[in-house]
Amino acid sequence: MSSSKKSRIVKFKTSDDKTFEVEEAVAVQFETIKSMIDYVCANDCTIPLPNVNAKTLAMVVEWCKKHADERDQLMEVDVDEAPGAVLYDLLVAATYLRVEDLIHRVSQRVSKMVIEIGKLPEEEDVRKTINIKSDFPPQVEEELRKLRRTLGPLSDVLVLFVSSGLLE
Amino acid sequence: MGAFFSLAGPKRMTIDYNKVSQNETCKRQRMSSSFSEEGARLIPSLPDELSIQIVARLPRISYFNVKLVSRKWMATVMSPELYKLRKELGTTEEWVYLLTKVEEDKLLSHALDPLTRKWQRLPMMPNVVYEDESRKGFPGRWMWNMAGPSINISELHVITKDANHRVAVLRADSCSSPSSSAPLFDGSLNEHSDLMTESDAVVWRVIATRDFGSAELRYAKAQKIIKHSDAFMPKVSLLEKPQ
Repeated sequence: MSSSKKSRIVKFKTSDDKTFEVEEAVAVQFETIKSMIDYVCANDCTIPLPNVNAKTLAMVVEWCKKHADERDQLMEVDVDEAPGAVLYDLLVAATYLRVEDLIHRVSQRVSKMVIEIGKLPEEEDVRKTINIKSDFPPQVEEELRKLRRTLGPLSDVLVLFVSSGLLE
Repeated sequence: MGAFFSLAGPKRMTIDYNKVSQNETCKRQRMSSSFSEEGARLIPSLPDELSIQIVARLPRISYFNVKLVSRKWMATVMSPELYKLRKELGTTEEWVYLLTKVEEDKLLSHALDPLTRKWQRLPMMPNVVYEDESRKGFPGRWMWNMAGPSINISELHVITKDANHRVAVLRADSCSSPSSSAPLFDGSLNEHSDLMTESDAVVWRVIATRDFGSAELRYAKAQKIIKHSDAFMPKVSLLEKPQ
């Protein structure tokens, strides 16, 4: 934004009912609301964000304020401190506001959380990371594991066959 | 397959049904076609539209494991949508495929994921027609240029096999200071290192080796994994019409 132009303020109301003032220079990075900034500012409206809380919006704003080369650093800190939940909130917010670069970075961070390249975790590790329980019947799962062990990638072909067979 | 059918006998079916929640039992019919199921998300705290963004950024080779996380994961890993998204995101991976001849009429194929340097043995391909019969019995070292029309130098792969039947996959790395990072050739490849480092700007790195015993290397290909089945079918035309 050029400094000659007076910076306007865009107001948001977060899901936890807090009013949030964001500089125009940041708000234009939210693709979703970019086109309505003129109208919103002229009429002194507040934009409701029903699925973004204040804490997450603060993170998104912080992200948008940083220069591109500092953003990676920001993500590093976030991941060290924050368990998945914060990143998930961030991903939801980034998607809702359509901050493309942030969507990409957060997705990448979570995917690295799930799996590090060169270190392939077993399905149980992944379940722990994303907090999910297997919904395969135990014997089916055992069978799938056995297939993977003995047949390698071929088990994919059989897995499809086995699963649909059992679920019919 | 037949043997497997018998494993999945009625006794086990009963047990499985008891394990499945009532909700799922009602939807069984629908799930058998698409696996889609309300309530069971890829990642519990995220909508699936966002979770798939994450799954699409996982290395392809991890799909062999993550598909066992849950039914939803399995269905996702096998869905064309995922591979479409990977294409859009530019996370499509290229694997190197090798076809080796173990003995007459017995061919084994292998895939290498250059990223993790992990080998996968592929299903047997019993009906193979050789594209070029003259290759049969080619002595000594084999070398293919893996460059496709759209592949730049940093993705160039070459597959070699030495007299000791050791197969090596080499990748050309564009290198700003070639002297600082010596090529990783070991003894059996040294004799040809001059041939392989033609340009100072390119360093050939051995990214993986494997001993295939007396198997003869028949065919190799680098292929982009743009859909699930690509990981198993390196080249369809090789599978046509047995003679």
